[in-house]
Amino acid sequence: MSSELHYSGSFTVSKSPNEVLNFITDLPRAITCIPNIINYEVLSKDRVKARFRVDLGNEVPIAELRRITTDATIELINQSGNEVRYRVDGRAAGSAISILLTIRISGSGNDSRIDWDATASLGRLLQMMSRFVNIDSLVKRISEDTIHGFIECLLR
Amino acid sequence: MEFDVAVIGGGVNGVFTALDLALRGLKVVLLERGIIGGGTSGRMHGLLHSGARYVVTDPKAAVECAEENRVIARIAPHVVDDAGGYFVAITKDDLDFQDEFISGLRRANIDYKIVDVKEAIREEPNLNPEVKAVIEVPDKVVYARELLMSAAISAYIEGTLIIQGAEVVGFDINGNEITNVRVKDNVKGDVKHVDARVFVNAAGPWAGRVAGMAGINVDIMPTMGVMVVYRHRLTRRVINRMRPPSDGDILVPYGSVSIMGTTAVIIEDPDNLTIAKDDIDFLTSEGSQMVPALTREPIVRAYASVRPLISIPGATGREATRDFMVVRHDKPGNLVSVIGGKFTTGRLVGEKLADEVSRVLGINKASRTRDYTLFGSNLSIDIKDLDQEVVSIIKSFRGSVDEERGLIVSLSLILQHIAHRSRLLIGWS
Repeated sequence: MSSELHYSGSFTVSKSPNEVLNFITDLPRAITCIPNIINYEVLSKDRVKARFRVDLGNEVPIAELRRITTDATIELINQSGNEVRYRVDGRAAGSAISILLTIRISGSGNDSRIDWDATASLGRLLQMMSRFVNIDSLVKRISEDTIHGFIECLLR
Repeated sequence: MEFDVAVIGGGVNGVFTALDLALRGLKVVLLERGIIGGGTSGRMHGLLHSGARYVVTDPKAAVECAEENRVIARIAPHVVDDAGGYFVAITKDDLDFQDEFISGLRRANIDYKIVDVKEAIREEPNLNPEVKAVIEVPDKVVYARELLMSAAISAYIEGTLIIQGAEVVGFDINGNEITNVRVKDNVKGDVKHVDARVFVNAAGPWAGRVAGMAGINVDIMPTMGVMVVYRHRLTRRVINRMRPPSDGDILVPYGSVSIMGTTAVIIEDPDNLTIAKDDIDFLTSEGSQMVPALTREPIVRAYASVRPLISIPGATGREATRDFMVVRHDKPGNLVSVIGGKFTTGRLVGEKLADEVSRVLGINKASRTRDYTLFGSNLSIDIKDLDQEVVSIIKSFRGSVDEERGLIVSLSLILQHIAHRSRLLIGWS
């Protein structure tokens, strides 16, 4: 299995592109929309340290490993026009994780189309889990749930 | 000397398997590479699960825990503290989980009581005053090492030889059958052979290694659970976070201390554990949401146990996600392994393993461990050839200030005696 997993998706929301862009680039505000966030600390306007819980699901055969707590630093690393890039570096289940997330906003008026793609690098130990569960579908589900939860929160 | 069964592993699964088989009249030897309870079982968190923790995510495990919680309290009252447990909702998310949790408790037929928050705080003054809901369940505290030693001594009384310092290093296989197990005597340093008709692999996180010696391709992923010990007992009851099972959500009052557990960290080698300061800080932080006094409480130490996640032929797919599984291998046909299991369900695992072994041997005797009172509740029971000096030490605790604390000392002395006697009887001394 490759150490990098790639996912992408797109959806539309009833908000203007400007509103969406303003929200997702305001990291201290946007951080509150990460699903299952436990606590966070704003390090700078572009960097936040966060603790959140990740639901790996019942296919993981050890109860204590089905819902794990993750500490991560989230950084807005680049904004160019309607494209925003974040990097997430952290640890989960004792293993390093790194996610590069790109979000592109397009559309006009009160509707926006959001295209996202994510590249996740899992540490060696988390890769071991792929021998027991389908980690590709697991990370895909987590990525999709997180992005959707994040955007739904944005729309509130 | 040939045995009917050689049980490999002196943890909770191994000792109860040995006892169960001995009670069925079989000639049993238990081989433990270190000391009885020296591995994962002796490093659990002290909670004898009521089953409540698993009612939503693992209903079958919940029902098994609920039943075994009652059985262990009945057969080993001397090692169980009927402390009770609270599940506490701290956040809105916790509160949102309450209805699903109560439905699960009902389905699993686990006794529960919704406790008024003010009453709960009166009962447990160290509880977070912001607690939003409290449900009482029949959690208990089990003194792990005492239970393991009591079961091992009981197995010995029923005829099992308990060999400590006996590390399995290989099997001799003839055709489809193991003929004997090669055992390194960690006391003398040489390798010995133990003959048996059936071999039981109850080696916990090392089960993959043992199965590999029999030519069975096993994939194993050990995960480490960290526990933190705080100086004082801060609650009367076990305090659980009311949410789906996760890391950092159980606080156990264990004797005079409090134990907060646990984490789930993937590791490479079950013999090489390193506890990170981050894990200790995390557990304190999570625990303090239930019991804020934890942040002020001195940390005495931290320890870790290893849970194995094993992929093994015959135990694939959804079944492997259940609490434990007994596997009779196709080749060699006289090896039976157990995968997984919780401390609370160790007796049940022993019963199921013994059932499988009985099928292999073609005997038809039922398990008796469910109603067998373990050694230890009455220390005046005679142990054959027990040294007079040991008897005097054990008796001297009675009526003294240390009578309660003397139990673990007494059991340790008796275990040392029976292990020594077992070595003599097998011809290893």
